[in-house]
Amino acid sequence: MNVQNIYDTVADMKEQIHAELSHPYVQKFIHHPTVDENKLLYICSFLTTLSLEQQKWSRCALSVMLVQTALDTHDLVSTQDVDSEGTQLHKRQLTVLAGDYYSGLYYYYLAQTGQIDLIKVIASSIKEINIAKIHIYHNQTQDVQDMMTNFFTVESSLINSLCDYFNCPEWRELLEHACRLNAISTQLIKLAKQEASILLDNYYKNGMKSIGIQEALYASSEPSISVVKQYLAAGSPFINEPLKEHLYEMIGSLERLKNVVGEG
Amino acid sequence: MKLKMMYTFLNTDIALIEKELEQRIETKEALITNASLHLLQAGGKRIRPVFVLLAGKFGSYDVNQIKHVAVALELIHMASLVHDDVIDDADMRRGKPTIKAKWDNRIAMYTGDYIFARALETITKIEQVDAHKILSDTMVELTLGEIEQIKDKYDLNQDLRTYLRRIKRKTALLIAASCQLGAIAAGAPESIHKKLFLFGYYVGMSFQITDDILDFTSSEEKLGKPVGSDLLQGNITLPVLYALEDPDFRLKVERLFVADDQTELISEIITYITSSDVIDRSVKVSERYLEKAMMILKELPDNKARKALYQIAKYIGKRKF
Repeated sequence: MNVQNIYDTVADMKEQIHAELSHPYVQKFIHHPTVDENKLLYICSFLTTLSLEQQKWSRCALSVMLVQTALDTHDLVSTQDVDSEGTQLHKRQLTVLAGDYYSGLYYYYLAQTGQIDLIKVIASSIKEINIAKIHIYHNQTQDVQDMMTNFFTVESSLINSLCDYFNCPEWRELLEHACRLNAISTQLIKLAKQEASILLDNYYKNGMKSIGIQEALYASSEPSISVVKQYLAAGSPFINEPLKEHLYEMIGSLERLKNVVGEG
Repeated sequence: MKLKMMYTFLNTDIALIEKELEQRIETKEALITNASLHLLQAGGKRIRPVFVLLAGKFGSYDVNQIKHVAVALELIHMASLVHDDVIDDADMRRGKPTIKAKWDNRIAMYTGDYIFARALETITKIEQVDAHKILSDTMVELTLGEIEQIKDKYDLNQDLRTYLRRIKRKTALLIAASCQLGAIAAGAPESIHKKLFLFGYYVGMSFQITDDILDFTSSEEKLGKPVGSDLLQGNITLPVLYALEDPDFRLKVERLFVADDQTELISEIITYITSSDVIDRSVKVSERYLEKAMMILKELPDNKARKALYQIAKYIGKRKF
């Protein structure tokens, strides 16, 4: 697939996902969900290398992204006490239902194409992700390493399962580490902007300081940077140009940030 | 007759389902197991698994196959209850604290998603693609029904059609799917499983209308929540829809929705509803759906399961809580 094609594919998929996520009433009250474009690039890059019919791979990409969005949406459900008739409760109710709706759609689309094995693989991944989320969210005594391991399960389990399902170990290794780096970058941005996330919230809840989490994130990035660099240096033919460009850029920006922090 | 007495011939299989449910929710993360068990052990009628098993009797009944459908449907129902308690901000369910009350909303969300995933893992043991098409469509409709319910809250200008479409999505379709999928998993012919779908649909409609009536006619003790709770939460159910034909009643409800202290107004509203003809009119609609369910049953082969379905439908129509 040439460079323009993969860009077009990602753009088309994004449009399709946005259309699926749209519900006129829900969108009146809650923000339209954000689609993780990096993960979409990983999934499309991977799936388009397989000999699958267009409808099958696009349903597959759509379903995985719907699940990802469903799970991300449920992370936004607030825990504070709210007025029983106020807009905050209304917003919370629709956030719960929007996530449920997207989950239902994942099952619906794979059922339509009869991809029952894939429904099972994704369900198993949803199960693991929620176990890991509860582990991060609730357990008070875990160490940073334990927390990072669970966090990476949350971030990469869906794509890992997809690669396992199609029996592509090289893609699995590359994308697992790409997902980790993508997640680390996102957390660093959230940290800088003082935004909430399941990882950061728990870190603060345990009384740890922000510099500690920053160091933990950088430390966790090192093995992943090394793996991704190896794939890039080997000139692995399955890595398309846009993906290559994205990975170089992500590694570069992480290394630059790390140096700034190190010098500071 | 008690509900459980209507299908004693299924006792061994129902015990098996109960055991499977416990096994399915077990995980290495103790909190998820505890939260899910907390809900499972609170009980419930297990009406969906019962419908699945009974419907399976119209095909080549093999409990080791059909159990996957029964367990999956109960898990889907459980997952939706966990999320519903977050939606309704409910602290109690079946006399026990809800997961969101015992832990918090986030734990409830993750537990609900976990149970949902377990349900899908379980149902994939069924290989018939049609079963998945039906169930997945039902699940999407179920959520759309809940969104509709939120949208229609406090809306006094909705009509009977809106109400019926909402309860179809919210309740009837999952019961209909339970009946149909049990038959499909047992390899029953299309002519049979389609009839069972219709039976479940009609019973489900009647069940929800009865539920909506009981919200006004039952007691707080039996309901486990205050009488008139649905209306207090802004849900316009069938008795209210009929009562809204009276402009004075409409004014009362409008005042209720903006009142700081609703005690006196809700009491007046309950008195109006229980003393006028709106309950009888609602009961008639419920009975009409039951009659349709019974008519469908007559078209099915005569067996023990058909008798049990008949008894259950009758029970649903006459239940007092």
